Amino acid sequence: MLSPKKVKHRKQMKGRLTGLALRGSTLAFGEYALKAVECGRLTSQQIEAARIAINRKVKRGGQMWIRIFPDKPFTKKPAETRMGSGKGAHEGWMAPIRPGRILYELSGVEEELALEALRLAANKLPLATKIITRGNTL
Amino acid sequence: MLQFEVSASVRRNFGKGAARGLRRDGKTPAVLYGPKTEPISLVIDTKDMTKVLLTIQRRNAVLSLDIEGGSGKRHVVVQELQSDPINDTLIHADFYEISLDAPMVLEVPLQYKGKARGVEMGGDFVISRHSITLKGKVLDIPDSVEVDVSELDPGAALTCGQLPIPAKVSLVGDAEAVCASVTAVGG
Repeated sequence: MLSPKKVKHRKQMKGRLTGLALRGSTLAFGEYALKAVECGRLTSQQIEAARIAINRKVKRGGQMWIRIFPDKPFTKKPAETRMGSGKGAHEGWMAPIRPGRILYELSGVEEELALEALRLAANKLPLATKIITRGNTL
Repeated sequence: MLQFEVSASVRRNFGKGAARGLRRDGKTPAVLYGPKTEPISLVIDTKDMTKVLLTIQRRNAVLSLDIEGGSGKRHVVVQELQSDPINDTLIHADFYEISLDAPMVLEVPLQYKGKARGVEMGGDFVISRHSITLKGKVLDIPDSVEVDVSELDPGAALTCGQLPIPAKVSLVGDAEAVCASVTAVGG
């Protein structure tokens, strides 16, 4: 599972997702990509699940790039706990996603296979996404 | 080199309010500049420009810019494009005026054709470069360089120096840099 090796502070504030992805919004490495069209947060488990979905479909061959990294910690209070008494315990890592962000890129595989692999990956994610190809982008 | 004609008119309203109004009306703000040209703010038709850009598909192309009320056609290249990150619609375009006789340095995309022999034997085809840099007169520089990779064996690599580059243009950069390779079988 993806997570930072070390961080300066164990817990962070939640933050708000506003605006569009100004960085990481263009197809940079591969031929096909999965792009987020709404904002949200992807946990390291979700990123891993989508990666596995792509790899299982593509099997061998091709190259994949994960363009996001879950570097933001999130916390959770235990069940049936009264409010207060400080912030909850560290639960996991997430990547804040803004609309337009490229999540995964693929190359070196047939178009039909790449599109199907990205469709399966999209099903693992809690965000609305779309598939883009190098030929259909400005 | 691909060549297209684009018509434009001079823009007199500036600022984001005016630019948004233009976009609502199906127009896109643009700017023309060059080494010997004063910058001119322009308006282009979004639909026509998008059609041209999708045909160009990031390849190099010379556009003949016909500015309404201007003095003749100007030869330009697309210097920069701003597009919406979600819808991929055109927001703004920068045109750079060029001289057809002066040498230019341009990024030329590579198009890999065929299936490498090494892939059929079980290796993976890895693209390391999508483009190379060429120098020459604009019309001599190809819009893309087609590379036949069918002869690539497992473990073999194709370098920039081995690419079929036209005689009138020269390669800029490292000729030994790997463009594509096939991984060794079982490696």
